[in-house]
Amino acid sequence: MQPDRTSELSALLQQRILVLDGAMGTMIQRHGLTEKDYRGERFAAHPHDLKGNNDLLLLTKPEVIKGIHAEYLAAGADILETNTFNATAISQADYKLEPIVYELNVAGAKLAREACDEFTAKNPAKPRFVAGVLGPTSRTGSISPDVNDPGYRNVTFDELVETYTEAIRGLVDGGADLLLVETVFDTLNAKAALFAIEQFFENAGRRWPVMISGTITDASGRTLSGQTAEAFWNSLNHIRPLSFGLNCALGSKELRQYVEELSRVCDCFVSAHPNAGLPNAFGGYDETPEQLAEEVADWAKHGFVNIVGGCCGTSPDHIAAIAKYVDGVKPRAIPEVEKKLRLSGLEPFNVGKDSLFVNVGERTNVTGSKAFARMILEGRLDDALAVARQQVENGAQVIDINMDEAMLDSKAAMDRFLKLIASEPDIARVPIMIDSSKWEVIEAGLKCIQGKGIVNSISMKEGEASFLHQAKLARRYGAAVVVMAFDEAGQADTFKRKTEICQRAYELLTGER
Amino acid sequence: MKIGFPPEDIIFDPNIFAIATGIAEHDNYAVDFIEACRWIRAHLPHAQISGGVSNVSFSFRGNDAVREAIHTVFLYHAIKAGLSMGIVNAGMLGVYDDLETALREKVEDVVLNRNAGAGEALVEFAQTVKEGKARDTGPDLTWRQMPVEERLSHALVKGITDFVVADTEECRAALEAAGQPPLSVIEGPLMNGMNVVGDLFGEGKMFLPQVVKSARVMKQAVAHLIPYIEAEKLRTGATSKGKIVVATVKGDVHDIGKNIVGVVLGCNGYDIVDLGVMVPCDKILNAAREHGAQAIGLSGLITPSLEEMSHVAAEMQRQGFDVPLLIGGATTSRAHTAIKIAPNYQSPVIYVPDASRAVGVVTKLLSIDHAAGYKAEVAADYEKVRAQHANKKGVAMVTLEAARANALPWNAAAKPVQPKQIGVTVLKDIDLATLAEYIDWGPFFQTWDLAGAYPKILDDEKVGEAARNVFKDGQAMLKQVIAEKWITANAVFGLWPANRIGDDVELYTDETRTKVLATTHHLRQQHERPSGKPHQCLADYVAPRVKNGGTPDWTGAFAVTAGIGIEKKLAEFEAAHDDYRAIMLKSIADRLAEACAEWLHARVRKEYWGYAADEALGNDALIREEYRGIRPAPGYPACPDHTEKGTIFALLDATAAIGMELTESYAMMPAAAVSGWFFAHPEAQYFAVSKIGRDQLEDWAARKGMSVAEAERWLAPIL
Repeated sequence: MQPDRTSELSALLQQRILVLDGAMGTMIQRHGLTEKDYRGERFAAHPHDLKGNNDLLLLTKPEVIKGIHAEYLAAGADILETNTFNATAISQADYKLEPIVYELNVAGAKLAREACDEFTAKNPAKPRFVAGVLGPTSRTGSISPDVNDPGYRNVTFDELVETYTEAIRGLVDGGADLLLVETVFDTLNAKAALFAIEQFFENAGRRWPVMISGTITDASGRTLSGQTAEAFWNSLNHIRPLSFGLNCALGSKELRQYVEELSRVCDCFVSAHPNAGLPNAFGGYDETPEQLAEEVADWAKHGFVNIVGGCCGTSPDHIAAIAKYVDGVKPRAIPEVEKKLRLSGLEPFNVGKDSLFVNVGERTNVTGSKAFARMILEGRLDDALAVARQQVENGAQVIDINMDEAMLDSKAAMDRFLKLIASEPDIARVPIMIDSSKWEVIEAGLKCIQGKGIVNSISMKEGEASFLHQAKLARRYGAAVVVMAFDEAGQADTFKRKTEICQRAYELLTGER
Repeated sequence: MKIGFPPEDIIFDPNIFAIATGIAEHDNYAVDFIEACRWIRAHLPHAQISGGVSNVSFSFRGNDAVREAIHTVFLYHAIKAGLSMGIVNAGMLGVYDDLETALREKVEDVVLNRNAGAGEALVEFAQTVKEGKARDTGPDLTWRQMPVEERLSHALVKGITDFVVADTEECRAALEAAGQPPLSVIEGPLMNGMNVVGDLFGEGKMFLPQVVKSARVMKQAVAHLIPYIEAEKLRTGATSKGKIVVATVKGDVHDIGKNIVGVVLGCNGYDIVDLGVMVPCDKILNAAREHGAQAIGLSGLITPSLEEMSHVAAEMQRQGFDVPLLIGGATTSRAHTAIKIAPNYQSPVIYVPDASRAVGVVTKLLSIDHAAGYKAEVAADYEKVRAQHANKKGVAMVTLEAARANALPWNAAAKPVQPKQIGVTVLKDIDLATLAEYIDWGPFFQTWDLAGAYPKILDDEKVGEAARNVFKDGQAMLKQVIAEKWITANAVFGLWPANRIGDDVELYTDETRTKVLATTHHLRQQHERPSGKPHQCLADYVAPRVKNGGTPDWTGAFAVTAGIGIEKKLAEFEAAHDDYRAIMLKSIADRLAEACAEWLHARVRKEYWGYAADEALGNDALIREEYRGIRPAPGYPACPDHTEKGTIFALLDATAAIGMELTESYAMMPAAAVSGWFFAHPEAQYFAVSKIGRDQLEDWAARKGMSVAEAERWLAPIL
């Protein structure tokens, strides 16, 4: 297990732009490996095809992977990504290899560790780092794979947390210096990864630096699950990442504006590792090392980035060119960003000192609206969705959802309704306020939203311990909280009680006492 | 326990309670709340403040006008004090300044607790306040005023399902009244709407979750139409036009396009077997076999799917399929289909750009009358795409060394047959009537710029009449040519012991194989080949020379012409300014020369070489090349080097033997002529060398004993 290298990394990042490595798949392809190579001796009799399971090569062809790592280090990469993009139970299930997930992650981190340490030993002035890669998995937490059933999901938040936890354990045990949650195309998957990371850190009693990198999938400038770049940042910055950025899907030219946007809004380091252009008609990539390096260097000169590298279609030549071009370029300085309540649905919604009054839609509340309660009880969910849509059309900037009704399985109703809303971009563009007096209902809701929402509410009704526990969990799910002026003695009615309770809660939460 | 919660993520709710309840302790609740807001703002930096606003007016349930006034006044003061958000009915908020003064005064007395009887006064006053009109007008429905086609398009783009069934029905009824079948709703307004969605997505103006909603609207519209379409089928007695298996390939979950294709084809009378998403190759092919599918459709959105599609095509070839393969999905393209997928599969592989084209493509493919022509058209188009692609810089090439390493290995089972007769044979004045039976009329129409396959072309809607006319004239002239012996056809060929050395073939004077008569030089494919496919070279069809023997093998060369004496007749036509007959005669002579090569090849196979003595094939089978062995000609794709004609002419002494000559640029005189090699290898087939690399150019020049500069000139088209 590696010591905490956060301060070493931060210091380096303030001095210069660090270089990340390039594509692994592209390099593996060059070796023309066969089914037999992928199987090796150990999996010779495995009942499922294994060709294409690049992560498995960590065990069956480690010399190939290590050779590629060495090529990237020789090209000038400071940070090496482990070959563990698909080393999660969900992705390995495609090959019926779920049992070896932990082993793959350990092997991935170890191999990169060895390669990095060899290069650091040769030149201690240029220390190398291992980024333990957590890929997006092959399933989406907030998109239905069935066009006829928008509320359906083929993976749950808890399943994602479980497999990410296993992967994190392996990466850390294998000697990763930091964790990289990358190629995020569905923010809910990434939220599950961050939840697992935060939980792991708590149990380990220490932290590792975390890098996050998302993917803008098409010309709309959004992730696959529909978020804009800033909404994406708002949804995931609760982990306080070392760096935040974008990779894959687009070439450097197309990615530029989104990197620029993130460089403006992120109060952490910014990373970018684009593809070598857009894929051509054959799924190949045409951008030459010089073309890519020129564009990336231009971002650096404009002060957009702190960490740069390559994704699909890039090679050690690309990385060498990038390293050469950004050498000596001043890294981006982290901007002072105003402290605001930064929420998101598919789009960002920021509330600061100068913001106008925020309307939170109240009609999607079974306790407040009889009509809405009837729709939910009678299962008229299309009508219920129409109510939500109407509120947004009428100017609600956040919508409050409450399913606390005695005749209802509130937890199931919250889950179902939020998943349906996730498939309605007109509604899902605004942040969600999850409203319940039952914590388990709130938690069920938090597992369904990819944006940064609001928990409504927590209080000190049952004492400080439970209050802080819920606040900590809300944060781990990436939500803001409504704190009701309520304590062990009851609900505050007078000015004195209101202000006393709010002050106490504030000090407990922020630790400023 | 400190958790370091960021203050900006804290929103306080200092409890909004009902006022004017008649209980004195409640009178100051609003003031307490407002003042608490002010205090929090001042003392707890960055935190926000929220509240459930409706609570404050709870006592006035049933009187929305008064409730709205209370909310408005309460918010006016609370917001000034620092309330930043509130749970409200967004459609039921008024403007402070717009409130009627008397009402506002009374409400303000209560909210700010300005006097003791304020609550009762407001309760009394409330009875006189008329019910305010709800500002909650519901969704904007102005788009409902548009014509029905535009409404459908709007609903698809916006993903609104509320009216889609009614609109679809209205559209269907209108079209029915105009004598249109229910399917025309899909093919017209619905597909138009989906095309708008596709365009907006392409321009980045829509994103995926919105497109998914559009697909849902489409599904509902189609679901409404299906009973009508079924009824229409019953009424017209239409039966299934064929079964088609569709699937999204392994590794890909995207199915919107595939689903729409399925629906559209289904509506057009095809039986669709939809295997869903992430379908492995075996499952697709097994289903196709089990259902007796007449076509297979593959879909995919992500780039790795492209490779999987190529794999499926290769498997179809290996497993002996011959049904057409359709390719569709966002990342697929005509170029990719032509270059990467089609070469893996001998039957048609056809790119379908969008769902609206699927019906046209499938109808043509499965049509008895048009299939052959359509397939030929697509094949020609894809060949063009491949040629264009090959001409572009940056075609993936392999080194000559790698290409040679991937040569077709010598197949010991090939067992070469010794020719009955070694050496040169001359056949003069060949019976033209016999040759006429061997004519392949297809290329005849190309001479006249008429596109289409023979004999279908004669019935073609567009060019059928013109084709029939030239064909009739051609047949008439052919009779004259034969009867009046306008031209003479001669042939010369030789068969010799031969063995391969590298990419060359050595021809020997006799079976001792000690004296080399001539060495022929061949070119090897160097462009990247699909996995499992060799880098072809004609030399590979001859057994390799091995020290102390090896397998004895033989090869042959030939030259034929059907143009001896043609000048006299041509001069006659030209003198009469009869260009038509001049061109006609040239094209007939060309056909006869080709026929002569075909006739000669057949006789060589059956008699002179004799390796296929039992062959019995009709002319159609000959045209389809259903025999063993090939007769590639220099200047054609398998042998793009024209200079080899010099070797052939020398070997055969063709000028002395049958009166054929070569110009210095290796053109044959008379023009109606064919010369080439005979290869008897059972796996021999025609292929295109296409581009070669610098390494092969230099190697070839050295073998030929030519300077590289001269070699470059001869091989320019393939460099």
